[in-house]
This record gives sequence, structure tokens and C-alpha cells, in this order.
Amino acid sequence: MRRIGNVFFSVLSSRALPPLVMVFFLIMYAGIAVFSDEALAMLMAQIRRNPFLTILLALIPLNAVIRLVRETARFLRRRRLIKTGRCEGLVPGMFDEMIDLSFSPSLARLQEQLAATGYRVQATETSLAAWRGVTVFPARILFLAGMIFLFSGILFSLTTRTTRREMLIEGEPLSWATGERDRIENVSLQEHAGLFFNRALTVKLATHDGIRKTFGLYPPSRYQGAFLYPRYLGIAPLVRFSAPDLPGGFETHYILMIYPPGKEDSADIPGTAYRVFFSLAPAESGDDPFITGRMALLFRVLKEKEPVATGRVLLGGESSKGGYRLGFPDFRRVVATDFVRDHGVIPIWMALVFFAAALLWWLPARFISPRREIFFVQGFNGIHAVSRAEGMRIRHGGVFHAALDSLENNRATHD
Amino acid sequence: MGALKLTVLILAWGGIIIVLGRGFSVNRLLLAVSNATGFAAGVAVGALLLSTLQGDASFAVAKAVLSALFLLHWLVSLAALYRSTGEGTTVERFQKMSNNPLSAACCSIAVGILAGTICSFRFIPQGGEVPLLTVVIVGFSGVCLTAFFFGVEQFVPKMPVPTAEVLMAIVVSFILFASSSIPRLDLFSPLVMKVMKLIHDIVHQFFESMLIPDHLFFRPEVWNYIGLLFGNRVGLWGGMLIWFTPVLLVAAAIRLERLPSVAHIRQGAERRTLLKAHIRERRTRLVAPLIAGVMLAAAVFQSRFPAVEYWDPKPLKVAATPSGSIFIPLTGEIDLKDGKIHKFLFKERGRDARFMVLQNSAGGYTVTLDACSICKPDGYGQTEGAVICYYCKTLIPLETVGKPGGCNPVPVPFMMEKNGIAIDGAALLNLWGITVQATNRVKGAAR
Repeated sequence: MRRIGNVFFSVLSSRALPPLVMVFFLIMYAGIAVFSDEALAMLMAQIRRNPFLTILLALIPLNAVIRLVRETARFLRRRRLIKTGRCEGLVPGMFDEMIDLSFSPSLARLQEQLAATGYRVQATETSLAAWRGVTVFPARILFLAGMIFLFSGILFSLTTRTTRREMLIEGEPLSWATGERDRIENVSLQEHAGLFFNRALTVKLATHDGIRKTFGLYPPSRYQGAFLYPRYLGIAPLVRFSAPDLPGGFETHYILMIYPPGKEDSADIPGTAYRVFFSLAPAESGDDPFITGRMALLFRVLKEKEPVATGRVLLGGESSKGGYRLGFPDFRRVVATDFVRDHGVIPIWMALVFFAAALLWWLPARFISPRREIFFVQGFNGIHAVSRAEGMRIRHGGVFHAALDSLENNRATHD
Repeated sequence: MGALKLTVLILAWGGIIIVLGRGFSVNRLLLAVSNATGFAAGVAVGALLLSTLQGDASFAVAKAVLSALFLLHWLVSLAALYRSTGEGTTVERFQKMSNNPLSAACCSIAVGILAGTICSFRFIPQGGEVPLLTVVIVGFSGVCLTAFFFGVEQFVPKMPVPTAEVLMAIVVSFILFASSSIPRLDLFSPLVMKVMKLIHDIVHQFFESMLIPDHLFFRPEVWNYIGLLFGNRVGLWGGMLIWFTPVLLVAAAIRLERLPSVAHIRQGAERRTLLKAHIRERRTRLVAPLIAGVMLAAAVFQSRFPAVEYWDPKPLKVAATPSGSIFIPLTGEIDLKDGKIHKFLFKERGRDARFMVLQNSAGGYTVTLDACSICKPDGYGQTEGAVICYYCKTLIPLETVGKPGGCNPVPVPFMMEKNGIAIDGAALLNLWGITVQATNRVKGAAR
């Protein structure tokens, strides 16, 4: 049982595990892509539904946690060993090179030699440690933390995300998820000179207890635990329509997702053969009509696929042609908004921050001044000499070998 | 043009034989017989596939095998890097396997079958009876070439014994080089296409998951930068990254091999000599992945600039009737029954749409846009048994033209009338508008 446990733990902590799991999902993606255009969406749906796939994906953050703990422990053991200068903690595999010298020379002269080559040296009665450069260990920790956050975030997002689309209409109550009648007071779009965005969308909400809240674009605001994710803009005009065979007319509010100008939406006149196509007319001044509020609608009226009337009407105005009358006495702005409950959003952003930090640390540490360590410690039968380098290995190896030669020469001189 | 294709196949087969001859230290005759037998069997397998499987199925089977081989190459390269950079591990040599006659013969036969199959796809026509004479000629030529290249192999300079991954890298690169000379067996173009789709999917999903607003709110210059991710250049470079990575991994595995510990040697000169010898040997072994890289680059070149001429007629201008219908007669100025694609251009009120009509093998007609829902609308050209998307170079078998999805041309609804085809002009313009808007739009481009 213990052996099985050991094998299981070895697999879980193996550095081959994450690439293998990723390759597995990549093959799945490629397989699905043969049959479907929505390969990624289908793969995500499969992971969500199939517990085996969910567990398989969960192995990646689990592996990162185990590796983080193990690598931290190994780093601390090595640090402790060098600090205390005791040979008890020295085990094979801890350093790149390890050699036992069967004699016990004085390390004092070596101290000067290593210091002269640019290494910082620390000596105790029984040991000599020399090192230079910056270790990439913090970058490694940041990277592993990033892996944990990224894949945990993906896992949370895949398994717990819920989305509900609502139309936020100016002046209308927000019916979502509450019996309390919170109301959208105002929707506005403004020019905005931001780093990434050039427009700012503002949705003002008045809660039932008189508190006013304002929601923007990004970072997403929260409402009752759900993120607000504005998707599309539109208008809700009051449409007044009459035709030669519909003299009594017809009046109702429509929700038309027709932003930006040129985008078309349509609506049926219930109980008739009429269908009206709407689009937002571009402003002649070049301004955005949604921002200025001076909106005009282009319309086409079809009766059983035959166009019977077309035209352009300012919101608030009316058009009348050949017995067809179409007016928009009132309108309100609309934002189609997704209310998203997702516990993976923040961990994924944090992961990106961790990865960026890891890269910023790793690049200079690895290429400008990598960590190199040499350690001599007095054992029972002589000296243990170990060396390790995170970069510039050949040059560091030369320093280490020269130090060993120097010890050998010292012994020969003393003999 | 035909001679060029022949040269590619001969070069690839010669390269494979020389590499196998150098890689395996077993009896030359055994290797030669295994290779020749494999090749002849491969030609027979190819002929059988082409005659028994209908439509694109035979090519799909061959491509699936090639894809599996490429994937295996990827995994072996990853494992090589893993072993090479592992702590306290050493790179095992290929010595044992290369000395084993059974494994050498099996490898040679398998590679021979693959090479023979690829050659058969080049020379044997699809469908109908198996052309025995052609099969015999192609198989016999392969056997003769095997003998010739085994003669040449003796004059090739000695190389260090390769590792399994190195041998695999070279053999796979030669196989892919050979297959890329046949457009319907080319793996690189579909790979580029898949990478474009994958990048698109990932970016789109990232935006959705991270609740990032749509392009309406972005500064145009920021959005243009994001838009670079959806171009075919990114697909091409991404495809190249995936294409060359196994070879780069093999090279990295060699380069990152730990030098042997020489700390126990107290003679500085001896230490340096030993290390120098190891470094030199490591460098020499890098030649093999370099050769593999060159062959893969040649495969990419063939894929991007195929030696094929496409039928690409100039679009004929058409107009709509007063009721808004476009009518295309079956015969007349253009004969729609010739099995070729025929392109048309419809313009109305400043809007235009390009579409094509094709008679399929069953005698029916297909009307599609001269554009797909993923790529920019650069249009299609026709080659033997397929149309090619000029933008992403993906080959679409003629049997699947008219079916939606992927890089297939977008189907257009039409009415089959007695003497021609009727298409609704407004619907056509709208469909073109949606498609072109979708492919020029950045986020959600393929929606």
C-alpha cells in the first residue's frame, strides 16, 4: 500500500505531469476541431460535464502545489546547510557536482582564492561557502504560484460560472435576482481618453433603499455577487405604427440592439404581415449618436417580404408615406448585460501578474548574474565538496575545479 | 513540374534510406530488404486505399497516420528534453535498439510502408480498379532506388550514433517533406488553419472569461494590435512554431545535456580535454536536428508555394431581376455542367458579393460565397479534387464544398429551376456582408 502511495505521489509531483495533461487536452481539442467549429467551447463543456476530465485538469494545480512545497523545502535545506556548515543535511542530488576528498586541508587559503574570483565567501570552523549571483528561485515560486492560480481559476470558472443576460433599460426596474425593486436611473456613453478604452459606459442604479450605485466598463463592477458584463448597446423606442390596412395603428416599446450605427435589428408587428427593420443612422457630423443623444433611425417596412415603406426618422419624430405612418415619440437607452457569477476571474488575473513578475525576475537573474554556489564541508573522513550553478556552468565549473586543484596542491606542499 | 515532384519523392526516400543505414548498426542486406519490402507493401496499401475508399477518405486516412506520426514525434521530443534536463539522469543512447536486427527491420518496414503509400498517392489515380501496372512500376522503382541509395550510403561520412529521438526527427522530417509535395497530403496548411482557429478561440474565450468588453469600447490602435492575433501571419508563425518545435526540442535536449562530472580528475589539462571532447561531440550531434529542420523548412516552402496551377475564373458580373432574384442559366455563356467552379459578381446599391457555382459529382449543384466564415475573403481556386482557400492555403475536398463550417466556402441558399439556378440577391448581399464583416472584425471573427 505504501509503495502504491509512493508511486501515486511521484506521479502527482512529476514535472512531466502538466505537459502530459496539456498535450492530452490539446489532442482532444484537435479531435473535436475535426468535427466542430466550436472546438474550444465543446472542450470546455466536456470538462464541465465529465468528472474524469475535471479531475484530470485539477491535477495541474495540485502538481504545482506539491512542486512548490518540495522545491521550497529543498531550497531551504540547501540554505540551512550552507548557513550552518554541517554536513549532516548533505544528500546526493542537492547540488550539480559532489566529490569527497579523503584528506582535510585548511580552507583558509581557498577563501582568498574564491574571493579573488568575485565570489562572496563565508567560512565557519568546519566549512567554506562561496557564492555569487542572484538565484532564480523566487521566479520559480512566482511561476508555480501563477500555475496554481491560473489553473485553479480555469477550473473554478469552468465548473461554477453562471451567466444570466438582462436588458438594463433606463428608468426600468432591475428584476434580476431580487424581489427588491432596484431601478436603472441612467445609461450614458461618453468619449474617454483611457489607455485601452476610448469610451466610458456608465450605468447608474438606484437601489430600493435610496442608495445610488454606478457601474462602469472595466474592471467589472459587482451587483449582488455577480459581475456586470456589458455586451451590447441598443435603444428601446416607443414605436407607433399605422398602415392602410391597419388604420387603428399599433403602439409598443421595442428593444432594438442597433448600436453601432449600421447594425440592423427587426421587429414583427404582432397579428399582421408587417415586419420593420431598424438601424441607427450615422450622424452627419461624425459624432456618435448614442453619446450625443441625437439619434435618427433608418427603417424599412416589409409586408410579406415586399418592401412597402422606407425612411429616416429622428427619435421623437414621425414619418408618413403612402398611408404608412411610423413614429418614435419616446426612447430609452438599453445595455444588454450579462450578470456573471464566476470565482475564476480574479485568480486568472492574479496568475497573469505572477507570471509577469516571474519573467521580470528570471530574465536578468538567469542571463546577467545567475546563482553559482560552491560549498566545502568537513566530514568524518575528509572534505565534501559540492557545486551548483543556475547558469554559466562551464565557467563556474572551472572555478570549482581550480579550487579543488588548489586544495590538492596545498596537500602536496604540506606532505 | 512533374519532374520536380518526382525529385522531391526520390530525395525524401534517399534521405530516409541513408539515415536508416547510418542509424542502425545491423546487416546492410537485412536493412535494404526491409526497406524495399516496406516500400513495395506501402505502394500496395496506397493503391488499395485509393481504389476502395470513396472521396476524400483515402487521403484522410493517410493524413491521420501522418498526423499521428507527427504527434508521436512531438511526444518523443518532449520526453527527450525531459530526460536531458532531469536531475541525476543521463541520456540513454540508441545503441541497444540500433544493434537489434528485429527492431531495425521493423522500423525499416514501417518507414518503407509510409514512404511507399505517399508515393502511391502521387502516381496512382483515385477510384476504380487498382491499376496493377502502375502499382508494379512504382513499387519496382522504389526497390531499385533502395538498392541505389544503399550503395550511395557507404560514401556518406560517419556520424555519431544517433539517439532514438534524433533518428525519428530526421525520418519524420523526410516523410513530411515527401507528403507536402502532394497538396492533399500536406499537413502544414491545415495546421496553420487550426492554429489560427485555436488562437482565435483562445483570445475570444479569454475576453469572454475575463469579462473584457467588446471592440466598440476599445481605442482603435489597441484593437488593431489585438487584431494582429487573428491574421494569417500569426497562424503561419504559430504553425511554424508547432511544426519546428519537436526538432528544436531535440536540439535543446542535446544542447542541454549535462557535461560529465570531471571534478575527480586532478589534472586540469585532462579535465579540459575531456570536457572539450564532450562539447565537440554534442555539437556534432546537433547536425542531425539541423538536417531535420532544413527538411521541415523545405516542406513548409512546398506547402506555402505549391507547384500546382489553380483554376480561378474571373467573376462574371450578374444582375438581379426586378423581383430581386439572380438567375444563372445552366448553359450559355458559361457551362455550369463542366465540373469546374464558376465565379460571379453581384453588385447592387454600392454593395457587392462574390459567389461560385459548382456541379458536384452526383450531378447536383452547389452555390457558395467565394469566401469562408473564418478567413479574409481572398477567394478560392480549384485544383484536382479540391478547392484551395487562397488566404490560409487550406484544401477543401470538392465533395465537402457546399457544407458549412471551418474554411469551407459559405453555402448560399438557392432554388433549382428548370434551366438554371435562382438566388435571392438581397439574401446574398446580406450573407456576404455578415461573412466579410465577421472575418474583418477582430473579436468573435468566426462567429
